[in-house]
Amino acid sequence: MIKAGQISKGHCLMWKDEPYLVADREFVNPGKGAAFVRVKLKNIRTGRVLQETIRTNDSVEEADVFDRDAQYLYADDAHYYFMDAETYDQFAVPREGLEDRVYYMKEGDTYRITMWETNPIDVIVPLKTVLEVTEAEEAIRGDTVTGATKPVKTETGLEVKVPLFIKRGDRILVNTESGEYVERVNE
Amino acid sequence: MLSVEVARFRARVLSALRAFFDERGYLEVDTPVLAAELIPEAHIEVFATELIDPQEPEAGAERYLVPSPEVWMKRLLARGYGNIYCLGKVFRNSESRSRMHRPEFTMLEWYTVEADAYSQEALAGELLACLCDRLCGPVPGAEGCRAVGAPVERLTVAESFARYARIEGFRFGEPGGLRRAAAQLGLRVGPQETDEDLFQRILLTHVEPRLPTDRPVILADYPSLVPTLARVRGATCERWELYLAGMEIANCYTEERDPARLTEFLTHESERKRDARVPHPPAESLLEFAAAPECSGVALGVDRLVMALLSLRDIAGVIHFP
Repeated sequence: MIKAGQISKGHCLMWKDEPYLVADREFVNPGKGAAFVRVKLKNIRTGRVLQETIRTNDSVEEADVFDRDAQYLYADDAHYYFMDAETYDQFAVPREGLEDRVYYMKEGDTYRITMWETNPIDVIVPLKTVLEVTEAEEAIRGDTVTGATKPVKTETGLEVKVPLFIKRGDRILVNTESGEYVERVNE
Repeated sequence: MLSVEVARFRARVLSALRAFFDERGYLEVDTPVLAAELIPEAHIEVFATELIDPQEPEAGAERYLVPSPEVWMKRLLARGYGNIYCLGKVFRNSESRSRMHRPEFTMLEWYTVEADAYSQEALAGELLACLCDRLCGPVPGAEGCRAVGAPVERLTVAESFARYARIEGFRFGEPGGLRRAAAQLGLRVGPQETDEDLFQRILLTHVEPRLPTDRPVILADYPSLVPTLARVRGATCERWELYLAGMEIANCYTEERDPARLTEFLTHESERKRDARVPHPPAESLLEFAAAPECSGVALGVDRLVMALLSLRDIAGVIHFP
């Protein structure tokens, strides 16, 4: 059992006797009243999504999950396809609820997959990842306003706001939770 | 991180708030941030520190960072200050740093004498329209600015349960009503769950996320089962909350002045406060407030107001040191 205040995105919970993945979590502190966490829960078996609000002090039961490492092969409209690093078994992970992962995974790289029984339920990507900029407009010369940004596109199709000095071909570090630019990577 | 443009915009919001109240004859009061006693509020954890007296270094006295300037402002009202406002920092401990929240934040609190929560609705609407007029320009996220200045949608909390949570004919004060509503919505209801918990969960899960974001929304007549210092009218009380872009921005009461009710609140909350991480002495002098004129107060979160004006989703984007 854990306190609801400790729940975070990617946790797996037993809720009304069903296993759920925490797809989203937000703390809410009503001006007058106790603190709550508002969660979006995705049923691991049925995919049904549920909204719940739980007092941060209440206890919730964690689901019994485990991890396996697998190589990311490719994606189609509905699934990501992986190969288990040990058994070479191929398996599919539904994209639903994990839509943003497509922007942070590179084909051929190994990722950790969270499993409940035989169901893959989450793909863990590092909190920060390096991506190459594949589309960028030239900065307008003379525009020196501090903090000015422009949108660029990365190799994975992610659109990111970056400082004006970033060029096509640069490698940038991106926060995979917020989708925001962190810094330019110099190698 | 805050860009220079946003820093300038934030400063303009602060000036515009001051100008609005100055022009209407409200007196700005910069009340202390440290207090020896606070209004007990069961759900608010506070920051405690120690006052060191060089003449009596052994006799350390506890001081607390105020979670709101209310404790000071109500004393000033009782002294006959008339209409007042305060713009400053407040502190709430044990609340998670999140997209919408920091333990230290900027609050505007104002009190209008010879007014009630209903007449303050009009003033709040005027304030928002005025901010929109003064601040809407070619700034990024101008649609946020327009939404803040749009006509206010006003509904009671009970009406919001019907409209957004689809619980027809809901009324506060009916025994078992909240439990039935929670069951209808498929919420898991624990045996120890109070009506207050159920009310908050329904509001936070099924109403708040569905409120319109293209205009200000006032939810009025909160249920009196949430204990506050708002004047009680049966099952509801004279209290409203203002939402901008789906965020809770401001809270308003017709201030309770009945000494018996004030005592009841102090006692009840002090008891619940025993479970707090940092207990603190209640402001006994709050009872002085019974001598104040009829009045109504509004507390407004300024950081969130700036977020709404700029259509920003994360509070880190509007404060200097996130």
